[in-house]
Amino acid sequence: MTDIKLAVESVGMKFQTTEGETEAISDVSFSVQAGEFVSIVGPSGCGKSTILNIISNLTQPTTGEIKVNGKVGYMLQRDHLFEWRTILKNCLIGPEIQGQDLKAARENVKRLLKTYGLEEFMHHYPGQLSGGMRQRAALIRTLAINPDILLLDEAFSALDYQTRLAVVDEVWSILRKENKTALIVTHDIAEAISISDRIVVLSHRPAVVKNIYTIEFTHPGLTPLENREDEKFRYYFNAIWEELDVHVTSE
Amino acid sequence: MSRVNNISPERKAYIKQIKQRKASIHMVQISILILFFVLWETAANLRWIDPFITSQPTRMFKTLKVLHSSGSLYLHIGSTIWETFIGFTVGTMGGILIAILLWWSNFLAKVSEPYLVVLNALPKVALGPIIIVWMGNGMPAIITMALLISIIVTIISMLNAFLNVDEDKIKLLKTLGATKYQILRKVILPASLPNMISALKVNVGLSWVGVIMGEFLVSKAGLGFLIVYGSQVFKLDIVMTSVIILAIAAAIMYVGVSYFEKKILKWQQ
Repeated sequence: MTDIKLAVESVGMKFQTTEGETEAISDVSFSVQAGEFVSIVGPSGCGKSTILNIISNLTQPTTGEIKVNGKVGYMLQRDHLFEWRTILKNCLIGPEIQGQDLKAARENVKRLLKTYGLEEFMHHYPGQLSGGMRQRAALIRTLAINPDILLLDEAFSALDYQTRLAVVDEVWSILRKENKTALIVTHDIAEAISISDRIVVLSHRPAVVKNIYTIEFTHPGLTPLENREDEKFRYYFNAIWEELDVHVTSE
Repeated sequence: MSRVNNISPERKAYIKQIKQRKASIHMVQISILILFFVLWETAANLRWIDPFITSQPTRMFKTLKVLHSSGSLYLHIGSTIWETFIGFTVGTMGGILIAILLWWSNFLAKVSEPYLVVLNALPKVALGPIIIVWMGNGMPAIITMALLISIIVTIISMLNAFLNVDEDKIKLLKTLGATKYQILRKVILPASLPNMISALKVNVGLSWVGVIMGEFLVSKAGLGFLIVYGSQVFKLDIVMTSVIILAIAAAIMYVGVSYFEKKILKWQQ
């Protein structure tokens, strides 16, 4: 048996509001192994983010359960750096909240900032950084608590296209280098293919797993940006596109 | 970014232009003030206006000297500033504390909502006579008035600010396992700091209103008392002098708050 970091087991989720009940997720199961990058794609509103919320313990599933082997770090769509804190202090928010040894955490964060080119901006406020740099800072903030598994919820979608391609490469190599496992939610099929080892395709609401693709490129071991050039890239794209069954005209 | 010792002539010209504009704005502002007083003085001397009911700068200056030498000037200024300061501080602090409480308990916030709305709409002057009956004829009544006038607005605006803090910022802390107290301390309060400062600014003004109003109604000392007293004995010199002193004192307090704002919100620039 391989080292399973995260297992989602027949999770279902119903939301209650005064207007009524919405079944967001019907029955979803999949697992993520150590060091693996898994993406979840699916039509909008199919409960992708809800799954991450359940994994990170923000909401309780109605049915099923989650097994997590290790510490979870969560990265949101926008960087949400606190404007009133310097970059260094922003990155230390996690250890602060979790009551970790701040001295050790500070050294760790400083090392990360240095490794990933933010050392000279350590004492700057977020307003003084570019979008790409802010996202990198947000990643370091997530890494500061030493998570084993990273959840990325549309973590790049607030960036413009060029920055985004660069940041995806960057984040990918950082996570690989730091030996992390990642679960990525995205609506961007190309991004999912370029970055992942496997892709979980969800159906319309209420979501079930439609298919799980294992991505095997002809030239393995390349960066996400280089992967986009691979011969098999198009093939996966078309397959997943078909599977998503997107209709623009009829809702 | 160009270095300091390497400024292009265009930049120099630009900076010069900005500085000149600033200087001319200040110039005109000061000129208007001087012109106003000169005109007032001249108009009174030439009997265009009746200085008995309008007073005039030289007479105000004389009044100031009299008040100064009798020592009562400082008693009046002192008591008004003291009342304003206490009313302002307690009103602001109390308002923020109550807002925190209401943020903490959504149930309490919902329950208190209609009461806050009504209390906010109610002109607090109407409560003046009641406060005097309850608190007596003196400083406590005045301070209560100043406090009442600022506390409700503070509660409402601060609670709004707390509730409008970006949900995702809170979510970020929750994913890290933050407690409610940590969320309050690490996000809600710092994120609401700009609103807190603007509440301070509004409250400075409101506290003056409350205090002067209170002094009109009861007091035996203070600038509000001087104004009422002056008008009753038809000594407009005293009234005008007090109004000018009041304007200066209010301006100084406002500048103090602005200075505080600059120091605290250095990340906003």
